[in-house]
Amino acid sequence: MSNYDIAISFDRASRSYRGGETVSGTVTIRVNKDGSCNGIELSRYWLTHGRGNRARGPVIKETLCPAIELRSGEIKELPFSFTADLEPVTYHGHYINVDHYVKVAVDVPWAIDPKCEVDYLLTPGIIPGGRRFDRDKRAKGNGQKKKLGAGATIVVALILSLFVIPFLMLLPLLLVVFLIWLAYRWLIHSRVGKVELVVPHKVVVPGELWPIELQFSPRTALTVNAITVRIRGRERCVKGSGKHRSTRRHMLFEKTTTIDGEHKLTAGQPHTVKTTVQLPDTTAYSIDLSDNDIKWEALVRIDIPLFPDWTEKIKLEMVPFEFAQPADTPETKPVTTPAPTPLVSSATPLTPTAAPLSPTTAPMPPTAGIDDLVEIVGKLVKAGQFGDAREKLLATHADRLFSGTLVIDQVLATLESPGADGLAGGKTILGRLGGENHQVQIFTQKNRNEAIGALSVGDEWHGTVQIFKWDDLYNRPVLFEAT
Amino acid sequence: MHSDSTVTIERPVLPAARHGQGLTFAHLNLRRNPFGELGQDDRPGVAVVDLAPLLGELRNPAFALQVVGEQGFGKTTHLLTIRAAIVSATYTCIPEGRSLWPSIGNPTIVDEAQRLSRRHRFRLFRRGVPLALGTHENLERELQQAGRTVVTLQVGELMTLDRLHTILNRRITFARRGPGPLPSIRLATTKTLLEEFGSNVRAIEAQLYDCFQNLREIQNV
Repeated sequence: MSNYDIAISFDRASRSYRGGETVSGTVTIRVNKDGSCNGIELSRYWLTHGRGNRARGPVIKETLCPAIELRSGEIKELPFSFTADLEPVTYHGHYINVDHYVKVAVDVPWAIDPKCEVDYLLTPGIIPGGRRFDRDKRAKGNGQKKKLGAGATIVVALILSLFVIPFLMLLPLLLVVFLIWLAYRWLIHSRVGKVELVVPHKVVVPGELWPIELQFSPRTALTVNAITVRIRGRERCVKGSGKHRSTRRHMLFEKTTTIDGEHKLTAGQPHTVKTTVQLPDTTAYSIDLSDNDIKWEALVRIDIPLFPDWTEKIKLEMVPFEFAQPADTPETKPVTTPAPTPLVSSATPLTPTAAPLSPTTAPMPPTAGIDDLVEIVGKLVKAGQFGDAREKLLATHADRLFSGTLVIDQVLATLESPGADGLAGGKTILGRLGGENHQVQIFTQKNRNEAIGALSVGDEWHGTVQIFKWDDLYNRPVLFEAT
Repeated sequence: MHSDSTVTIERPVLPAARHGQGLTFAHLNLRRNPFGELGQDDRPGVAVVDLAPLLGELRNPAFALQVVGEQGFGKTTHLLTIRAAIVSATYTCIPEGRSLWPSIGNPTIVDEAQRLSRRHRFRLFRRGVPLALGTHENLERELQQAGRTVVTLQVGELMTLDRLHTILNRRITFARRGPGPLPSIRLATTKTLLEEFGSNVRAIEAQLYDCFQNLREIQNV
């Protein structure tokens, strides 16, 4: 029997916490033999485990108890509490695992310290600082950039080889490789012409329907077998170092989707493919922890019979849905503040009446009806993700107020502050616009929590809203309740 | 030209679906895969090394222990166990392509000692501190020339069926999550592994890692 039995218990049996939440619990120490200790210390950190070399996050320590004398039979209960890290979130894969730990050590003089280490689960919560992903920023495929990079690398290698005598022997070989590469590129270009690959974002979330647009005008008459997109996610870990270093890879997901079938194209005829590709539902978010990483990529291929295929690789960053918020939040967006509108449910019908405005309140813009909002949402759907039509529409109607009824599908807690006053800690309503099939998401005011909490599926919510943004993932508008 | 352009390959088994969101390896009453890579601090906890006869010698400034063996045979585990057992010991692993001057302790433990430059070896072997060296090359002659008493442990030769059986099951016990039953490695499995991989514990661990990764319930492997 050891001198001390240490146990760590959490306030949640599931030991599951969102990033930024408070993790709390109790450390119980049963003393089996009299003795003194120099203190009881709690440390917390994240750690990778699996086949690769371990990576460890910073160890944060705090003293739970100063130096004391411990008596046999004594049971010491020490509460602890800290704010959970924001990342990396817990991941359990094949070669790579990321876990968060709480460790308690009793500092016993001149002896090995008894310890207890317990893991807890960290799920996505608050977006880590500096990692707000701008998903709305339009992005082109990165293949072209990479090709330039590869070309530049070869040129640099050639120049360097001029200065190093042994490399002079390799110069002809390097030149031949470079010329073959150029010829290969030219060969493909001579058939398909310039291919423009546009994706709205490379920061993706699990389960997303990822839009992709491909446009090209073949230079000669061309038969295309198919245009495919291969989505691939893999774990890579490195074990050992130096000449004992070995790398292992594990494919998490690989799926090739045909986005366009067989076509016979005439020279100069523009060919456009606009579609979406279903991304897998996964918790394998992109991570890069030196010897342990998870990478996602999309390989777009134009399959030409009896000819080299045109291909381009796009590196994707798979992030939790909670992290993929656009940079444009109400914090930077002026919010007009109309008077509060009472909430009603079908169970407790109330007449929505605007409270009288104080003399100092800025003049309110006129409130439009729900039909106007439905019409605008229809236009936003039609505008699509490509081009700037949707952004322009959103900007045009950003300051307008709409009053109407919503049929509730779901009521959730607002986990992250959408930015505007009163919305943090409020509720998020998912529902449909009066009788229409347009899905919407509404952030409601915190001071309405009690009333909204009483609403259930199928009830009606009535209020005044403003358009906040468009959610590309669910293809629906995000609104917020005007105050 | 791409031959399988219309073929759809899908591997829908993703970590999320396989393990759910629960605590890792809780279904086996383990905290992690017991045959994954260990941290340096964990190595002594899983070591099956009898150092008792050597601990006294490792206080003699003219003594040198060299642990010789191939990669994956347990040299580093031996050295880290010494470090854990003797508070005044220092441990330095010489990186590839560089000859670091090791941190001097009592004893001074140097892993990958064959990477030390001739000059560093000459100085270190004549330093008045006990040495524990992990090496792929036998340095006995150089150590004796420096006036040291040398004990050589050939780690590959130390491996027996019982020893390997103990090593593997200790790894499992070390990863225990809580009280209750644990999976275990049967002697027959150990014998098969020993026949296939010999003393290469690292290769055996790699085999068992995949096995435990797919283990669905507590059982004897």
